Amino acid sequence: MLTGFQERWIDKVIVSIFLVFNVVLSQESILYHVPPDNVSSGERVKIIVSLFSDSRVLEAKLFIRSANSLNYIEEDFSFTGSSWQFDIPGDRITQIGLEYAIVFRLDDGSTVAFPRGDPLKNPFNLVIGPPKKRSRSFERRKSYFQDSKEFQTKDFLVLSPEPGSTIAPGDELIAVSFFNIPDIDTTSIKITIDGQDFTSLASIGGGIISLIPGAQDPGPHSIIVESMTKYDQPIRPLSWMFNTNKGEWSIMDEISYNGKVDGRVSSQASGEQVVSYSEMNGKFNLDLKWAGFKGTARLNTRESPFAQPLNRFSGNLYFGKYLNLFTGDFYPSLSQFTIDGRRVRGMGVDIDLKWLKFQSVSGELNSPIQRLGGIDGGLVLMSNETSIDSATGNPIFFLERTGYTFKRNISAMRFSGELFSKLKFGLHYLKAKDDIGSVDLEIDNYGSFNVDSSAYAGLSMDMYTGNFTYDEFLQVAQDNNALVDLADTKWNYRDPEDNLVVGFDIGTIMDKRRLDFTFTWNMSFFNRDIWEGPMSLSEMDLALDDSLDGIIGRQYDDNGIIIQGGLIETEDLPDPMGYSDFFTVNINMTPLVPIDVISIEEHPIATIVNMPSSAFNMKLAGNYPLSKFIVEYRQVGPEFVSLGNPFLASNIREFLITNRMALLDAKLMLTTGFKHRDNKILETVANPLNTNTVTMNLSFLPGAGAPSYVLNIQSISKNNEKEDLDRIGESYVDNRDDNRATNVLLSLNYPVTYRSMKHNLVLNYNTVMNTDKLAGDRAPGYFFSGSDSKSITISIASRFQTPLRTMLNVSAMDLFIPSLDMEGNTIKNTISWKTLSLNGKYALQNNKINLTGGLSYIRNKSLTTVSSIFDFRGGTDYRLRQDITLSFTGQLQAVINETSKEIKLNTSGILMSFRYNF
Amino acid sequence: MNKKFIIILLLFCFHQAVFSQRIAIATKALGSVEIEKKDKPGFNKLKAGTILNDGDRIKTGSDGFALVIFIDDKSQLKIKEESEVTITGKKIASTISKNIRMDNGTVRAQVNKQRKGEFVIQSTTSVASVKGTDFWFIANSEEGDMLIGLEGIVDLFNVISGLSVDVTAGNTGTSDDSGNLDLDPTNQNTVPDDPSDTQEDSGNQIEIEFEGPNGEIKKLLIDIQ
Repeated sequence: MLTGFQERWIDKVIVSIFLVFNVVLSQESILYHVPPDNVSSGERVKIIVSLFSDSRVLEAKLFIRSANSLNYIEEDFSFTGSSWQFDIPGDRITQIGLEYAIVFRLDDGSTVAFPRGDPLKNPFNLVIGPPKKRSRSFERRKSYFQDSKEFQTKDFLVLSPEPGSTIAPGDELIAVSFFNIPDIDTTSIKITIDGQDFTSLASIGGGIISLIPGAQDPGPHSIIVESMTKYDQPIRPLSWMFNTNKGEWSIMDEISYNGKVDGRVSSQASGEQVVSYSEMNGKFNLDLKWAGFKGTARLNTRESPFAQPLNRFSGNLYFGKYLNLFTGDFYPSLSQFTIDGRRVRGMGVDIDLKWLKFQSVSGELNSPIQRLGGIDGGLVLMSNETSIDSATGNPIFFLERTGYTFKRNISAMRFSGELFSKLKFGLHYLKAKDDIGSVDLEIDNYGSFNVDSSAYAGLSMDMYTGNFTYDEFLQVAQDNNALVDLADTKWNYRDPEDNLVVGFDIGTIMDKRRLDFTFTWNMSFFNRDIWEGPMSLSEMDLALDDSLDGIIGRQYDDNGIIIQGGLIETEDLPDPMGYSDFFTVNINMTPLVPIDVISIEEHPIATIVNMPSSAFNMKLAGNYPLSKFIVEYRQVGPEFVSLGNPFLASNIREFLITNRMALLDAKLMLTTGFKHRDNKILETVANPLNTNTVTMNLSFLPGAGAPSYVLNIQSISKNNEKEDLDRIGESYVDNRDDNRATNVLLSLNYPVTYRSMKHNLVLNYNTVMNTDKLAGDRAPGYFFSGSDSKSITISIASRFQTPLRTMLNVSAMDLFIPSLDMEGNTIKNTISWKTLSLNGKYALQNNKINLTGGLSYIRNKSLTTVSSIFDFRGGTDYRLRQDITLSFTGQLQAVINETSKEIKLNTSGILMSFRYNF
Repeated sequence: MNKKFIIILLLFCFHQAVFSQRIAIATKALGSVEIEKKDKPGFNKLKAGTILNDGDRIKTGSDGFALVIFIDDKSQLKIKEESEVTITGKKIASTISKNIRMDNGTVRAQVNKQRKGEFVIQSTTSVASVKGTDFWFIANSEEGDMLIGLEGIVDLFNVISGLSVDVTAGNTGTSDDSGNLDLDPTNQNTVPDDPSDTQEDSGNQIEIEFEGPNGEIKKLLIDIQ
């Protein structure tokens, strides 16, 4: 059983599949996205999507989750003037892997998605390599030497104080190493501070100059060290500066703060449509050493009263590592079955005493929305319900509120602990409930609603078809002696929901924390319609056994003779009215009865384990130097619902085993995995869908500056255990499903240095092949919808001796989409994209000005259309001050339709931004 | 023959006593920090600016902290509270081969990538041979040692079992007297605080305040490139 939200998304995705086919063939909307390559653990990843469409984007969503996780985190793409982008932070890029799906909702009602097919069920698996081994240079500060050709340059090392540093008066210590200057004449060394000779106070010898000059006046000071070689040749003097502070105690010494403010304004023209967007972000950190505060804010012009808030405000007050208080928008994670990274606006408390932990969340998951924009956004006329008032004989029109979203309150808590570093435990609950009173019957502006002729069909009225405001309609109705009834409750657009999830986990830690076993069990209570509120005990009695006899479960035969005694008397049950604040019990809740009382006698364990509203997980994780492995079994019942985690896949049983081996001093990483998933929880499932996924990843990263290699192979097999054809009437339908999708990715990264020019060559090759294992057994005309793809990408990133950086990208991608020809044979239509792009960056005035530019060419060839897209972009970053940067970017995109011989300016856009760090 | 040998031996000892190799300088000494010079038994208070010779020992109390900088490559050794380390260094060509002996305590080593000589930290059970640049080493003779990689790679060797492992950034190697040697992702709660990170503002800007005849204050900021 899917939640309403999931169903809506799945509906969208199904629609998207259809539309993607249409789109690709008709060239209406194309979502172009090349997955990022050469991704390393810990490094942030930019997801870039280009949309070629005449329609406006209403929603641009990115769904991301760790590989093999059940939960997606939903993020909004940012529009950058020419493309949609989202930066996935480095802390989410781990070697566990990452899966993501992209879904764009357009204003023509369509949805486009990546990957094609069913993006949320089959997300793209991003291969993540081990962290890159970096080289960091401790460059010696030669630049402080004065420039003169007569001087010999020698290798001094400034040990103290650091150039440019600020130190307290009395703490001044001058230390310079001449360890690497064997030919220095130590007797020639002269050291001055602000021109005053301090040589006599210095200790010189053994390769080091040490001087404690005593407290200096507050302000900047210059140090100069002059010397000669043993051959009387002058050595280039060493000079540098440092600051002495005032030395007075100041509250500011105890407080440190930093932050940034950035903003951007963009405008994109597409045809006659101009979309402008602006956004401002602020970040502030205050640190008192023992406590601190972090605050962020985001304001943007897409904020609308007709949608959930896009502005963000958050504050985090912390006291060491022990207490965190969150306010505003925050993303709590209590457990995978309650809430795990979904945004909450409210208040959170985390107390972490290492062996004891307490988490609390309260606030709202959804803000109240009174109505949507557009026609029928706030009111809808129930055309088929127009009736005649029996008393007056006048017509009555029925109106209803629509387009609303209830405020969804949430409260959740988790209490967990660890005993003797061996045992661990946790208890948690989540309560989410829609606030019916948050949506008002009367609002200032209902917008307009459509009245069609069926609303007054058969009535003799002076009325017309069209869009009316509420007041206009009242007037028209009054003119026709008609009544208007605006229903004050139980509207059909969306039912208020209630949800309670309770659970616990226990586990043990073994073998010096190298083995970790966890078992977690959860149960949900979900009420999909609480308009009516809780039911009475009598209503419960009637609902559960169809007889009002004060005994739950008592069954009677046709003659009224008791054939089953019953389970419990209603007077022994708590009155649902009494605990309605805890959960709303009525006929719309699931489960009505959590356990199948009939089957529990025969299969008690299986009945409890397979309770439709339960979810559990058993996980053994091993963390050894050579091997990290996970063995896990999890099951989410078909009726398990957590409104704190709406993307949790339900009705699944899943077993997975993964192992990552670190070989050759962790230079060679071998990851293997197997996952089986099915939906055979209930015995009533006739044709369960089984999915087996086998993954193998080989990453060889010998070290910094050396070539690296990644090979990833993933095979996904699906079958529905159906062996025979279905008979419908006189004909047979082949509903058997047994297919395999094989995804192979090969990535080579080859750094080359040629004449002081550094190049990094990346080659990626990716194929996705879908095979129908029953192809030989199918009847002619059977349509297998799996589409194949093949892509190859070559990227060359170059750093020249001049401040020029370039990135050349060449890629070719073919998508093979099956369809049936006139004779009923399956053919594969090829849609191909060929891309060439060159981007460059040139730094001027010591990186104060950075010029950026790029051009790209995409050629798209489908069965019916050949078109090319040229994209030009350029811009500049100007560092106005050390802490202020201004940026400007412009972009122009032209589409040449070679089929219809048309050239049109597809989009043009500008983006201006600033950043101020303090 | 014996007389010559004794004279040579005496000269050698004299040389060792008087001309011990200068290898580092203590640039910070906060709280209770003591030094025992190799040629002068007994601990004395360590002052900032003290030049360290081969074989000197540094001991920190419950509130002690010392920052030692090596003179050949500016590698740093930050010694936290309740630690006792012996610093030895042999000059080999134009570098100093450094060996830090520590049985109990916590140090952070920030090793210059440009170094040529060895940099080894040794405890009763472990030897950390430095290939990387930045890491914490927490020696505990009872519970075992812990090496927290912050940057680069450190080869951690367990002298009991002979096992070794490369500890990379973000990982922690643990080594105990049972010969166990493990590598795990670093738990951020175990990373010690570095007092010197907040003690000195090593910015790249010089700020000069000017006071005008009317008392107005203006600041001149000089960026150091």
